[in-house]
Amino acid sequence: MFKKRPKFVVLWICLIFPILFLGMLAFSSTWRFPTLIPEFKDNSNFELMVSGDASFVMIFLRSVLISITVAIVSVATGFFIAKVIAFHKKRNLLLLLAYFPFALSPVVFAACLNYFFTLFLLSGTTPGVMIAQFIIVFPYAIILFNSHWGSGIIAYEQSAATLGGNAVQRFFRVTLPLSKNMLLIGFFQCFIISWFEFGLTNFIGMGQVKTLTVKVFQYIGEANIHLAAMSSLLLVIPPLLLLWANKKFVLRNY
Amino acid sequence: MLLEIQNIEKKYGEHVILNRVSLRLASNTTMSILGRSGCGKTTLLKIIAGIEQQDAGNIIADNINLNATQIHEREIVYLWQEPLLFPHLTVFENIAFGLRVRKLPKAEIIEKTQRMIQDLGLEGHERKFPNQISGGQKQRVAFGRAIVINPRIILLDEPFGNLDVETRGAMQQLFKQITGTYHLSALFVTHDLKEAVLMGDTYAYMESGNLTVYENRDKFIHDERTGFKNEINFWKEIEKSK
Repeated sequence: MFKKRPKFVVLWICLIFPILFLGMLAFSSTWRFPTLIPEFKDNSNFELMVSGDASFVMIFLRSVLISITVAIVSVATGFFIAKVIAFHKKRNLLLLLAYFPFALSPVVFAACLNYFFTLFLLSGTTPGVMIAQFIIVFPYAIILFNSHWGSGIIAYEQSAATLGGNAVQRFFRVTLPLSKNMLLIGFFQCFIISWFEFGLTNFIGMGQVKTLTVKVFQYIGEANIHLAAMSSLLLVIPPLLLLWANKKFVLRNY
Repeated sequence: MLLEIQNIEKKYGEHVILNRVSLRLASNTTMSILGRSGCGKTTLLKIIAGIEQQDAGNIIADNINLNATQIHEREIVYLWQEPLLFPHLTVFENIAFGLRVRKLPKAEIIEKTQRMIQDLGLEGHERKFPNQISGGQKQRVAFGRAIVINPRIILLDEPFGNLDVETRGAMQQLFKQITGTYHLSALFVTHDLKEAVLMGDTYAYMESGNLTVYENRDKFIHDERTGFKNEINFWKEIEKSK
């Protein structure tokens, strides 16, 4: 493939080089002029990555837990509520409300909500961050699935109903198989939004709930390029896996 | 009487879609309902199927009022203009769908589905998916899927509208043959005069939400609104001009 199409080589280099560069920076300790490549004096960065409660592994696992939970709950609720909205008399008004969280900056939005999070003792907690992220990911899921329900899938449901399928049978035998790809795409996108969310997470988490995205911003602020690279490297792994899964399980059906 | 529709009314806002529509359908007969696009034919069928709700009036089948009966319990199958085959299921599984949701024994499902496939001339296509068969074959599968469950009534909403002339003719013949074999009762909605005459045992004409049911075919074709006379005159003029 590469011999016949040299453009692929260039494309692959463009894709892989930033990741290799991040890896090089992450595991090096110093990189001073005029050294051509970073120096690897010890494995302190690697130790920091795997040891203790504040290790990157723990932060990575917490970030994965938050994003998976937010994505699953948003997709599951957004899918059904989008159906209700798609056939509601006041569809346009309800859709307009779904766009509301995106009209504000996440930090301004978080500031507006902060009182309630403090009142219910959710500020600075992992469930609090999950709820805060859900508040912006859920409307996105509604907007995404709204077009799906408008695409004629309801006629298939009605057809299954006149053939004798009850609500449960219709869902599992018709709606779910026909919506499988859309649900996967929705999950990927909701996961990515939650994964890279910074403003809301930082504000509601009050610095106590550390996610990888928050860590990256923190290290960049401290001008610590090696630890910023380490957290960035971990940060790109799930999106890359999702990209691969998207290509393997979703795009092959189109 | 198998089906009795009594004074069905439907409005969208101030716009009257169906105005006190009534009809009676006997067992093993097909009623053709002729009407232009937007006259309310589809709404009437959807209300009978339970997909839409009427504002007033009754739907009675086998002396049972179906007004409060859910769609899946009505035993009335609605066929869209599009075949709407489930794209993730094979031809066999599409036809077997209604039998599977009724949880019939496996052997019975296979036997009934195979027989239907033979009757519809679909042998060899059982394992194909809808995107691998032609428009006419898709419509046959849609018929098979509806008929195999032995419904009370089949509602056909311009089912041949998207087919070419040749396939349409073949499908009309097949439908006539199948309705005889399986003793089907059907409401057949179309905007095509010739198709209405060919497919029906009884006839009705719908205009602006008002339904006229005719006692016989003569009265149907002699009503000027159906356009039959215009059609005859058109061909006479063509003949004269030769």
